[in-house]
Amino acid sequence: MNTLPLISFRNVCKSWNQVTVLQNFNLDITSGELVVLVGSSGCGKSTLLRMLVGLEPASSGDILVSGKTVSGVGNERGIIFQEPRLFPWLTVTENVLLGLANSPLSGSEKNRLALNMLERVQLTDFANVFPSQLSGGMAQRVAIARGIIAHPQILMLDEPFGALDALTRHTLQQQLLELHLSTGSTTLLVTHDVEEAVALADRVIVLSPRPGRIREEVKITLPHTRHRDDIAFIDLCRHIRHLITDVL
Amino acid sequence: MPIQILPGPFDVANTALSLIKNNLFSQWGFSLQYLAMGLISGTVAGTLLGALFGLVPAAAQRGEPLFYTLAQIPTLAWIPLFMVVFGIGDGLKLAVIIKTTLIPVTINPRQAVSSVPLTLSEVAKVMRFTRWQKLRWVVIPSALPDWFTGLRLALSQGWVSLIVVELLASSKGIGYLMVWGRQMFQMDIVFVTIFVIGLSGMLMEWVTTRAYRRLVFWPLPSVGHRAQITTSGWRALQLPVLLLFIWQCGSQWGWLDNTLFSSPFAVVLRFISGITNGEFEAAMFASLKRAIIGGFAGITAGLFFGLLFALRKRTGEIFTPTLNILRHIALFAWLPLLTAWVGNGDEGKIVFIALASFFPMFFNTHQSVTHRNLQLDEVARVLGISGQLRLRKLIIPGAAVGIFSGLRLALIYAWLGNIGAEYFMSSGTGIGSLMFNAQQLLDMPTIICGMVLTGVTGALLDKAGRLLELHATRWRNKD
Repeated sequence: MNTLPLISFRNVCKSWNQVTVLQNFNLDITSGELVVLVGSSGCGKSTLLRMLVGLEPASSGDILVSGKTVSGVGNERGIIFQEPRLFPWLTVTENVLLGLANSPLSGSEKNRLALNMLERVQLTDFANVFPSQLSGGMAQRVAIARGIIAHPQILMLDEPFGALDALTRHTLQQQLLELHLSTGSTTLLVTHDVEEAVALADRVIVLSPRPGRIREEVKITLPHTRHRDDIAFIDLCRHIRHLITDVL
Repeated sequence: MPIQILPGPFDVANTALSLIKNNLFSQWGFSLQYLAMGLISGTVAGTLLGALFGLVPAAAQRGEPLFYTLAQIPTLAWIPLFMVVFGIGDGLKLAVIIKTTLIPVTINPRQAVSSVPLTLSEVAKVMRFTRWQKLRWVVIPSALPDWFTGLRLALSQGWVSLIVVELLASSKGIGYLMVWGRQMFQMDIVFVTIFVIGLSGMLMEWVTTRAYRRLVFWPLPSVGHRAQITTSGWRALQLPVLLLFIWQCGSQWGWLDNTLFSSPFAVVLRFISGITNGEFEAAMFASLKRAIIGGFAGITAGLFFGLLFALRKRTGEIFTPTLNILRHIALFAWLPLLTAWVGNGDEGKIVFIALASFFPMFFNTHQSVTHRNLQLDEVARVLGISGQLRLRKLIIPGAAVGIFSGLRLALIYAWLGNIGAEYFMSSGTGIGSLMFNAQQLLDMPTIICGMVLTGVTGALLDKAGRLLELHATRWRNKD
């Protein structure tokens, strides 16, 4: 035992009314890892994130972060949702600043950080517009900026690129990877997109459908500049796709 | 508590029983009968007019501007004029209800007819529908929800107007029974009639909601594009100029009874004299002052309790259902009770105005906070936004659309409430008292001046509310 896992799910169960979504789910994640959860829809991927971030309690079992049980939201955990969920009445900058609502920094420090953040997601020109004037991809970039500005130790992303076109999606995936590598945060990504999973992950967790359990863990040892037409890359994708679709 | 101020529930129940044996149902029946008659005539006339405006552009260009201008003058302001023209009898009631019905029933479907979704019009074109087929399959179904909304509005407003007329000038009906009870200082009777009026309001809402669900079973398109009513200056002026001309000639050459239809010239003279001797300014000042004080109190309370009851669920569950029931009592039915409790002076009027503006503010705020976007709530939770910051950045802006439409309504209600209160307690100064007293002297020019001033003030308040709303929710604009 040289390193304690940063996050551990221990026998976590979750059910809605009579339906069991997750049953005895166990998973450890070490600090700095980028873990991707894949599986068919309704297998409880999003529920896992919502429980870890503290929006929903587990029906039974424990979720530990740094050895402490999760019981509600906390500053060290952040999430980026499938929809941008920007506050339509605040400008882009003000939306990003919401991410620093609990920070002790001074106003000018916060502003500097927000501008810096907008530069990183290439939205400097849109700093003062309202969300209704942004395209889907831009809005999602603002949401990402808002989610990571406070540097949460654990960053969760719930199908963040699902609603975007292929080109935008590809760019944002690269940006996410760069951010992850430069900040060293632990990242959990939920997706439907197998290629996305293989392109980004250190480890892919394939979930079986209801009740959700781990079907297989796939370690991705490819170097970080991954080419989607490599044989190894394609093989991994095919393998994971099989795991998802051939469950029965 | 003495029974003259606040009778106990048993006293009220006893009175109710004896009134039921006596004449409660017949009085209630009188009121409902007139409501139905006025509503039917107004609906037929309004539907025809709306269809005319919607389908014949030439008629719309000539008739609509005048119609919309007259529609700016609230029903309440027409009452003194109608009292002079129709006397205090059944004709008055019918005229008031028809007037109230005509406007929503004309305006709502009119807008719907000219804003049939483009996508559907294109389908109709491609399928080469005949004019009749288009009317039947596209225009009427598109206009139906709005027509029905207009009808619902007409029903509730017609009921309120009828109560006002019965309170002011009538010898039968539920409102009359209420005033009679008030004059005899039998508050138990007042309470019974308030109950009946509230019950009627609830029944009407229940019936119309059910009928609406039966009638309109398809999902409504999102309200986005509304027909712009275009006005061309000259064509809009033709009809008013012609009417003014006939009116002036009529009074000049004695075709019209001069006491009833004083000439436009006399109205202008009266306006000038009223302004120069300071009479109108003083009246407007007194009215506006009251409306502002009462409106401010009502709006503040409505906003505060709306937020409180929506955010503190437990507290809300205790109070909101009761307020929801009280909402069904036609506003002016509170007047007799308030005069008994607070008195006939400015205090009584201000309390009534506060009450009038409280309800729309409260319900709009409460609704929009309750139905806020829960996804954004989650974001706020994850980002740790709480307390005052949450109120400022999430709750209030999220409910802004509802809060501001509540504010706009509350402003109008404060103004109308003030006019109604002045009619009922006509002893003080104010524009409503001025009109009501002029009515007793058959002083038509003063009445018409009062109508114009009331209408213009109401329109300005509405405009101010709209501008404020537009400014506060400008983040909704695409560009």
